[in-house]
Amino acid sequence: MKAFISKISPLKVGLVAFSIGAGIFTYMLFMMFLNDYGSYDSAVGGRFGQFIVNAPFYFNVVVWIYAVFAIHNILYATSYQKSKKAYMGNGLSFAILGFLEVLLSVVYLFNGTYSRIGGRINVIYPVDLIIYGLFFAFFGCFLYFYGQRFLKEKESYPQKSLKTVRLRPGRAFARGFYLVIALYMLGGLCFSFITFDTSFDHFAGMLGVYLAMALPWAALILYEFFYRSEPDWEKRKRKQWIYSTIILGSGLLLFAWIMIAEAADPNFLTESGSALFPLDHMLMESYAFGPFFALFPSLLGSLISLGKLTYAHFRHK
Amino acid sequence: MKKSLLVLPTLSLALLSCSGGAPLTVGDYTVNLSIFSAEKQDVTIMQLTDIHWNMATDLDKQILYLETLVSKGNPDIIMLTGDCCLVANTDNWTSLFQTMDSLKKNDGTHIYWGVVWGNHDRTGLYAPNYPSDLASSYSNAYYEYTKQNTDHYGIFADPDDDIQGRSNYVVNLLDEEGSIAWQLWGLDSNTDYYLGSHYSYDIIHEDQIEWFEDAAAETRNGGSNIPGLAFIHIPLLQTAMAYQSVLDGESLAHGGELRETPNEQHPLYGQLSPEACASYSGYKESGFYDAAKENGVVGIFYGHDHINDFWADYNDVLLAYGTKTGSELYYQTGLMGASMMRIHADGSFDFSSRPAVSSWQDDGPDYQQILLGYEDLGL
Repeated sequence: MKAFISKISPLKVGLVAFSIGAGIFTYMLFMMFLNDYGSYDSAVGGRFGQFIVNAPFYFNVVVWIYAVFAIHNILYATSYQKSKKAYMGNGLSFAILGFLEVLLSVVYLFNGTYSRIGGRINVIYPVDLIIYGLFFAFFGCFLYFYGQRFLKEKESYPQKSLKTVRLRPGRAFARGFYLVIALYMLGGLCFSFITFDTSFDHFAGMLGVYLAMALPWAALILYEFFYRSEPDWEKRKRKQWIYSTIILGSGLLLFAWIMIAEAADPNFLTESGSALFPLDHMLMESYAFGPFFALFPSLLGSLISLGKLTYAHFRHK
Repeated sequence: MKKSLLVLPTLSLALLSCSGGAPLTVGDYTVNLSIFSAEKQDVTIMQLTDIHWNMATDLDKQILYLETLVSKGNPDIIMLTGDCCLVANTDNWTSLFQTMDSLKKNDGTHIYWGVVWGNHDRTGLYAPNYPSDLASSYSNAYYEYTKQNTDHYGIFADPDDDIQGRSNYVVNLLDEEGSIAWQLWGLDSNTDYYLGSHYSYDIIHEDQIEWFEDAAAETRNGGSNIPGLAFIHIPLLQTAMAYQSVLDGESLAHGGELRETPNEQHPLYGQLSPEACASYSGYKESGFYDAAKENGVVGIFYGHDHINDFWADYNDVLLAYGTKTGSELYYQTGLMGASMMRIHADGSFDFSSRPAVSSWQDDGPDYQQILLGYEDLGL
């Protein structure tokens, strides 16, 4: 535990904080996007009738998700020069995105698209976007100047993974896909403090769903904070076996849990969990994809990891 | 010894109080509204449906639309038949209910309003019971129309029970002698039902129908049926049967259209046959139609399908879609507004026709459809 606490840095705290923020907004984005997709005039067609109106909000979500990538990028720079570049490059991007967010919100407020402060999304919208934008702009400037003038060389930098492979497009896409799902699930979990069914009528089933939503983050935390920070290759390999097995086992257990819950209490998701997975309840003859969507990336990731280890093991023999 | 003797009955009382309160009665599900009088022999009811406010809704615009629509209908009572909100937050709900509670007739008297839940109302940034709890906070068990002596005007009940759904209640419309002239039934048609591999739209469950039959029997107390109107969200299967009867050339009073195609509900499936118009009723026959008819209900009103406004006199029971209220989520230009019904103290309600009008016609038939577009408001 002490070792873990000693590893906590402002950047790691920032990564967690930006992840929570990005999770909350990603969850809201899915909800609004879904509603937007369903908004159209049946006589003349044309979906996404609210897309332009909601553009500042969508842009805000993009900036928050970018923040997660940017902090991650800075945190895991592998040399002093790369670290400096990461600080300055991401700082500049942050500053520009923050400025654009402020500009977009102000334009929408003054050109009449938003008739007043509040009246949609929340009581101060879009002032909240202006605040976020200003924060990102200042934070970006801070990162830029910190990288340029005050960044000192560290004794060691994070190592690359076992095999030095270039980030192929497929891998980058898979990681992005994983992150977006994980962010959505994190947002859902954050909002569960207000969407939780206090009648406890379907708690047994819902507990499995909440745990399934937390699984992508359990896997990420193990990977980011325990696996990647391990400098010893042999120990790292051992950790990879253990963590992948834990995630795979937990995923399969939760899969069985939710299947049993659906058999025993068929409407538990409809009654208590429709806020978590609106798409599952949007159409006639829809499917209970949500909880399994939460499990899928972790299961797949751990399977690939174990597969690679097994292959390497036999190849070595 | 004496002390222990005292402790025992105290404990027993405590245990009894923990074992649950007195069983619920029909009264717990009832709102009484003394609204008919010697001077007032008619009551007009406006049905608003599928308002679908959401986080991105421009509340100022939509509130103005609602206020204008209501002023054109000038009803005594408004019934919201579900899907008031989808992917909404608590601001949406409080804005909607505050608006409903502040609406007034053209003569300055308040309008009473009730609500039943649709399949989407529980999907948003709040607990599933939040809409019901909020609606309950706007409701009283007894209203005296002539005095308008209350802070709120909601007509809604959702006692803590084991019956399926959260909007099963009855509003008794009383005459000047305190007798029940009409009953307005609210029933929760629920959301989705899991069929083992997928969800389909749910129905009114058996225990709800039992509750309805018991409540109707208890209210009439051995007498004859009390005329009633029922408000739900998801259409009954009989809607499709009535439509088929019309297509088969049977003679029944009807109007409106089933414009909804499978494509509206399954956009990802691609455009299916345009002839495949549909009513998206529950996954099976619920039995509610028969129960309602046997217990004096003469009209069943629902929403759910935004571009269907078909109505029919199906074996002496009016089965009718409401008219989608407002532009949130999907809609069809020229087909948004409200439905209006006028019921009479003598128990009559003529639903042989339903003209489309721009505002309620006092000298028109009992059943009218008000169409109001945003362009009419300059929005």
